[in-house]
Amino acid sequence: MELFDENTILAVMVIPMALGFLLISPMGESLSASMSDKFPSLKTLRGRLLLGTLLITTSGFLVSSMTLWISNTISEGAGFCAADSLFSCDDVIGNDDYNKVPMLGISWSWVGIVVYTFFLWVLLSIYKEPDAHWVGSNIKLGLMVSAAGIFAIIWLIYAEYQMVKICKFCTAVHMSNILLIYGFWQMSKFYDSGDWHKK
Amino acid sequence: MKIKYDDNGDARMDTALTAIAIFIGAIMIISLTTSPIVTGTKEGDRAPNITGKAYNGSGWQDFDLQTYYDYDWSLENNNTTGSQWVMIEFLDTDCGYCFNAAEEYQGLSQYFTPLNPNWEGPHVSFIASAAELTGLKGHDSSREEIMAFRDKTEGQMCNSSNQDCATRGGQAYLIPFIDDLDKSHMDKWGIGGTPSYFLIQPDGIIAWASPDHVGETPGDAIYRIIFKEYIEELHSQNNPQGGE
Repeated sequence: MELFDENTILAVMVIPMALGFLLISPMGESLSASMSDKFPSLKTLRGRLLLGTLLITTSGFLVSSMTLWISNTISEGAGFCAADSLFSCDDVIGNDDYNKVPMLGISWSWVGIVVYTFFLWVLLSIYKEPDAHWVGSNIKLGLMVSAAGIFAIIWLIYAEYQMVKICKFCTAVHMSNILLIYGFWQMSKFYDSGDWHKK
Repeated sequence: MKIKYDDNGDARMDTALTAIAIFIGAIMIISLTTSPIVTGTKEGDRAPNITGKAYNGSGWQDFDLQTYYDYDWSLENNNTTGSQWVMIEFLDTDCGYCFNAAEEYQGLSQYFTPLNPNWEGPHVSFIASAAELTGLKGHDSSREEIMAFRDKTEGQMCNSSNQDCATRGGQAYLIPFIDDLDKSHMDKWGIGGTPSYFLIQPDGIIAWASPDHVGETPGDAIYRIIFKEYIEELHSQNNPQGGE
């Protein structure tokens, strides 16, 4: 196996997502206990949810950027992760019939990178000023946009089904979106409970 | 003068700038490490791929245009001889112009090959994509008609159903004929009329598109683009010093 083959690159990019998922999951409190001395924000649910979703978003942004890079590389004629097997992101990302948003004609890779930039903004804002009056609406905004992503994911899974190919990088972005829905939902629930501002 | 700080400034503006900076940074890295080529049918574009079934004389086989390409090819790499160029014709067996052009296209398909001692250039693979132009009188094509047109066999009517396909000029073709009866490839390539020809470089980039060169035949285009460049390339190899 090459040191920088597509699987290694993907694995490295997905590490923040895995850590983020652990933080926002019910296991987050016990798992972060050992690190809470070094990172005091992990002592609170608010801190864990914020850091966890931020890590997931970072992964999503990195992998989305990678899909755009793969898309460009394919157009040059070079292959990146082409395979005759079921898993071939070149065949999925390079398929002109499915790699653009229907009717809009925008590449899905661009949509991904823009949406994750938006999530970065939403979460960094909250992270920087968690007690601001607009935090509740930012959380709701994040929840709505990530939930809307489900429609895109369904369509893209349908496209992969039609192509009989699976793109691992795209699947990682979808996973990231689904985890963000869960993260924003947890944050929204926690905010509405009134415990968000408790020290 | 004492500088005042707005401690209550909205973090949303700061982080918007941060997020935009991250976005621009990512785009810059991508743009600096890749050179994307548009997929289209203009010269310099990457040719849209064609997949489907093609008749090669013995039956209808799977066809994938990408299998003809050598993505490592470039004129600069000087490996012109080892790779094949592709000439593709979009036609309708009931189109009169296509019917009359068959003799020339068939002749060209057997001329630009290393098997021909009179041709010093690289191999040019010829392909035909046969559509059915619906809504026109006599344009009712079929796979049987495509086979008859290719093989010059009797029993099918071509040229607006006015002439037997066996009466077209030239000999039987030896090239694959792609089934595009549903016009999907033609629509994908944005073909406005038949016959239309495209010369594709070995790396899949369109080198010549007949709609942009009215009056220039496929044979003239091959001579102008491949033969001239090939000879120049060969000449520079034999005379690396150059000189007048």
